[in-house]
This record gives sequence, C-alpha cells and structure tokens, in this order.
Amino acid sequence: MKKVFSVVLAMAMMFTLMAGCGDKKDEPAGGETKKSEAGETKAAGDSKDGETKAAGSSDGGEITLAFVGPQTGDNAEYGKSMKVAIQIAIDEWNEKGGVNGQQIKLVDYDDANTSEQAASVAQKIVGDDSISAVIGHFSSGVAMTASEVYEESGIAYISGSAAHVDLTKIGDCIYRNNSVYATDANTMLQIVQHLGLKKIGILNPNSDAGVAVTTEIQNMMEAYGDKYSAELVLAELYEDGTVDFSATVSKFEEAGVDCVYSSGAYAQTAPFIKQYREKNKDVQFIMSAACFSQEFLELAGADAEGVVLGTSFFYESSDEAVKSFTEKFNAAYGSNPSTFCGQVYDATYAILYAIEKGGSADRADILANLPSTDFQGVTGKITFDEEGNCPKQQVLLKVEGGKYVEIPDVLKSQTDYEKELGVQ
Amino acid sequence: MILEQVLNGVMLGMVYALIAVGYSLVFGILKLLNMAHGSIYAFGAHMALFIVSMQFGLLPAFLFAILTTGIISVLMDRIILAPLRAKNAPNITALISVMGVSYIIQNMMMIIFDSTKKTFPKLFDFGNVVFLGVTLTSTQIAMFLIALTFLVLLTIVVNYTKVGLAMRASRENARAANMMGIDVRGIVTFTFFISGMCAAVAGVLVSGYYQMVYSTMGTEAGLKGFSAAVLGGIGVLHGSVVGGIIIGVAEALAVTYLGGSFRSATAYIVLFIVLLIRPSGLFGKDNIVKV
Repeated sequence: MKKVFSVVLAMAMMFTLMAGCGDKKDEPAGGETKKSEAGETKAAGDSKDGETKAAGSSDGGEITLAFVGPQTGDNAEYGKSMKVAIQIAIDEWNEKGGVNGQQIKLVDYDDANTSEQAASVAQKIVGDDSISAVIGHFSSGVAMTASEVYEESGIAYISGSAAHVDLTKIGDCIYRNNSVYATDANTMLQIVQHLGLKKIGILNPNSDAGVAVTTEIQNMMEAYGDKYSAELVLAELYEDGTVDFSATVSKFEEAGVDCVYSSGAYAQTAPFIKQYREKNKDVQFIMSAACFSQEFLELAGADAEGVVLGTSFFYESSDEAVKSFTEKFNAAYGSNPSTFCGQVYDATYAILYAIEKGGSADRADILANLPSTDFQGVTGKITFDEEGNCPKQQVLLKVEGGKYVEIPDVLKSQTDYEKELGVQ
Repeated sequence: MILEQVLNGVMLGMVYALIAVGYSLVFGILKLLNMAHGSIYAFGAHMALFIVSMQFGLLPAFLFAILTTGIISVLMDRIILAPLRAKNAPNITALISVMGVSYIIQNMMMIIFDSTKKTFPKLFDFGNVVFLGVTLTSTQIAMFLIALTFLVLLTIVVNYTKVGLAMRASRENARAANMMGIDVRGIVTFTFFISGMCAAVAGVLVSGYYQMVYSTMGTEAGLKGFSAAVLGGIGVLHGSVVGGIIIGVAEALAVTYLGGSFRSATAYIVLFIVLLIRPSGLFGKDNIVKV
C-alpha cells in the first residue's frame, strides 16, 4: 500500500513539475530544437567551417539569414508560421538563381518568446560570422532585449511583429515591418470618421500596449481638436484574463457610446463583444489586427457580424503577389497567413534586395543599403523612415457572413490623412 | 446605474457561489481545502463540450458532465486522499496532493482539448427583460434561477434528508458517527460525488453563460469561488451564496467607480475587511478547539 501511494505521489509530482516547465523544455539549447527539420536548418553554430565561408565571400558560397522566434511555449504557433513565411521568400529567390549568384539558406533558433533565451540566442548569432542578417522575435519586450545585442555588434535585424515604439530607437541596425501603436490609433480614428460615428468608447487591456494605444488616441484627438468630428466619451482598461464584462458593458451603455474600440487579443474581445451584443444590437465594434484571425470569428460567432478592423495585410487581397504568397503558405502550413507572416515575408525581401543592391552580404553593406529599401510587398509599400520603421497603410476589413471582406480605398497613411484633415 | 451594476454583480456572484459550495461541502466533512475543485469544474465544462461537439445536444451533455465529473471527484478521493487518511497523514499532505491533481487534470485537458478558447452554445435565449428599469439578458436570468434552484436543492439534501443527516453527523464527529452505524467512508465518497456534481453544474452553467470553455478556466474562477466560500464561512452552504454575491457585487462596483484594473484587488480587500471583523466568515461558527 505504501509503495502504491508513493508511486502515485511521485507521479503527481512529476506531472506538476512538467506543468511548471512545459514551455521551457528546450531552454538551454537555443539552436538545438530544429533537429527535426531538414539539414539545411542545422544550427549555424554547428556548421564546420564558418570562417572560410564568411558572409559575402566569393560566389558559389551560401548566404545565411537567421530567424529567431518562439518554436515552443504559448506562442509557438506564431514562430512556426513566421518561419514558413520566411522560407517561402527564400525559396522564391533561390528559384530564380539566388542573390548575386549565391543561394540563400535559413537557420532558425528558438527563443520561446522569453527575453532570457532571446539574449543568449542573439549572442550566438552575432558570434557566427556566416550569418548576414536576422529576422524575427515575436513580442516587443523579447525583441528589444535581443536588439541591444544586434545593435552592439552591427548586424541588421528586422522585426515583423513587435509594435513597441521604442524598439527601433535602440539604434541604426534595428528595423521594423509592423504597425506601431500610432498607426493603430490613427486607423481607428479614420474608421470612426468614415462610419460617421460620434461617441467613442475604448476598452484596452491594462498592459504596456493597451495603455500606449489609448494614450496615442488621446494625443491625436487633442492635436486634431475641432477638426475631428467624434469625441472620446469613455476610455476603460481591463485586467488580463477578465471573462465577465457585464459591468463594463453597463458603463459604456450609461455613457451612451455609439462605437467601442479595442486593441486587445481576440480571446478577450470576443466574449466582450458577445456580452455587449446581448444588451445592445446596434453598437459598432472597431477592433485591431489582433482580431484578424479565424479563431476570432469562431469564438465571437454570429456576434462578429459587422465588426470592422484595420490590418496591413489581407490574404484575400486581389493583389497578385499576395495571392501567390497565400497559395504557397496554405500549401506549406495548411492555413491562411497572418499579418505577421506577411510582414516577415516582406522583411526577408527587404534584406535580400539590400544584399543585391550592395552586391555583398557583408553585415555592414546590408546596413548601408537597407535605408534606401523601396518595393511593393505583400504588406504594402516597404520603405523605412529614419528611425527604421516602415510606415504602414492599413486596409479596412469588415466581417460579413462569417468572413472578412475588404472595403477598399477608405484608409490612408497617417500623413495623408492628417494633410487631408488640415493638421500639421 | 447603481442598481444595474448591483444586479450585474449578483449574477456574477451566483457564478462564484456555484463554485464556492463545492469547496464548502468537502471542507465541512474533511476539513480539507480541495484545491483541485477549480480544475474539476473546468473538467466538467470540457466533458459537456465533448458531448455537445458530438451533436448529442445540451441535456445529454449536462448529464454526462455531471456523471463523469462526479466520478473523477470520487476517484481522486479513493486513489489519493483515502489512503492518506488511512495513514493519518497530516492535512498538508492531502493539500499538496490535491494541488498536484489539479495540475494533472488541467494539463490533461490542455493535451486533449488544446489550450485555445472554444465556443460553447448559449443555454437560453428569449430576449431581454426590463426589471425595475434595468435591462437584464435572458442568459443572466436563466443562470440566476437555475443556480438558485440548484443551491436550494443542495441545502435541502444536506439539511432535511437522511443522507444529509449522516453527512452532518460525520462532520460533527466521524468516530461517533461510525459507532452509530453510519458508513462514514460511504458518506465521504458521496460528498465527493456531490461536490464533483456541483463543479459540473457550475462548469456547464458558466460556460453557457459566457459561451466559452478553455482549459485554464478553473484557475481564476476557483480562486474567486474559494474566496466566496471563506467569506461566507467555509462549510456553510448559504454562506457560500452570500459570500459569492458580496464578491460579485464588489467587483461590479469596482469596475464602475474605480475602473476595470481594480476589479480583483477590490474583491480581495472586501474579503480582508470581512475577515478582520468576523475571522471565521459571515456565517462560520467560531472554531474553538478544546484541549
């Protein structure tokens, strides 16, 4: 009996242990996790003669790009799908003969979306001379930790998903192909005006991102003053993990809003929309790209009807490049690409164009040529401003019949919009 | 506005009360904090979701959830807790064991059902009702009535039936009850079954209320339910209901007047204040241990 009990208890303890570190299984081995992938994605650190084929050496050699993203843990889906998108871009270049006659190779690393792991992976990457440039890292905080390392050693890094304003301020090596909070805020103001709404309510998560978006909106509305037609009636925050929004809904109703904006994740906004719809069928919901996903449509169900949102990438766009990318992505991954996938795909192109232009995959040469990037990607026109951000112009999507439908020619870039409004 | 928010809080409080009674039942008899109750509650919701997803309808799903969740609760007692009691293990051993069970159940659900949020069908939909100038949704009203009926039934079982008498006797003095011919072991099993059933009822009702199910749904709800049980006086069934409602109303008012970020903090501050004034909870009997 004693034995049976101790075995059971030992099992229970093992399970709890596993529960505790389930998402950090591969912790020390940043570069080890992709053993299962083909040989081409072998850890860069393992490649025998890294020195002889130093970046941008003679032709015939390979150019190596690195991708870092969560391949384990809660955000593994994002990392895995972004890697597929980058690989598609590289394959396209390789098919037409590579860049400057050299084939391109992708090595990938797992940072589990934790700063600790990202820092050590970044060290590993900058220490490997064969790697020419870096793409990836999922969250802003993680990307910023790694960016310090990239900046210090002078290797170009492009993020396709981090939105924190301070990321690109770290230095000249840090680039971003993602909307910043200001873009999201401006998109929301444009949508409100387009729909002729008057009283705005905001419900954002009480997180760095949520508070930052709310502040951006408030600042912009203040700057626009009388030139802007709607007013902000109520700005609310919610705790992460909130399920019951009934009190918040009553508060919005009391304030008499005619639309509610949220930049929160779909797991929270979907129940909010459902609970709001039970009390009010007419209020307009405006969401961010965070709700541009199949899971949002499933979770919000019929109540998702009529929701509008802005995103810089739409997989059903009539654009030929987007069509081809979506097709290839579907074949490789089995689902439609997300905004982030589109953005890292374009980031890969930006780096390869820079290599082509400079005729060299040398780290310094890439950095010299990235600022003059200018091409039409799947996520719009790709250019970088002096800080390293790609000004994003978003497209307006509306949920109709359980699907996202594009409403063209509504959203403008922030500068165009402000010019039209007569500010600045 | 105030009235509407208080009513919102009462509805939310019923959710907490449903979870709180499960803690109270087990604590009443075994003086054990069943920290696995939150996970068992999530388990009940997932069992119902499983049957619903196989297109069998809500009622079979409800019954299946109650049965399987009751059984898993009994199994937990039989496999892990009963052997511990037989060896007179200290209470802390049982406590850490149920925490372990909690993780096992939660991780199993993550493995089998994955960790995304999944939709659950709405339980009732017959439009909105205006009550004292306040709009209440049908889901809120149905949730409130079903929960109330269930809690009344439970109180009747515990206070006015033979098996309830046996439960109360075992709570007062297990050894004496045993000598009087009460099958205490059977009563403990029965209590775990009822507590699992409560978890399943709560799980299904709450999932239908919010129309979603996810593997970690028991963590936050379990903690709030536990607080409600302590606030009302753990071991006292009607105390759990009152405790749940107080916490629910405190949260709703906190959201109204302080903002959404103060929600949980306010609930716990109210809990502290009540416990400072009445350390054994609102309806709890003072625990005097005679030496």
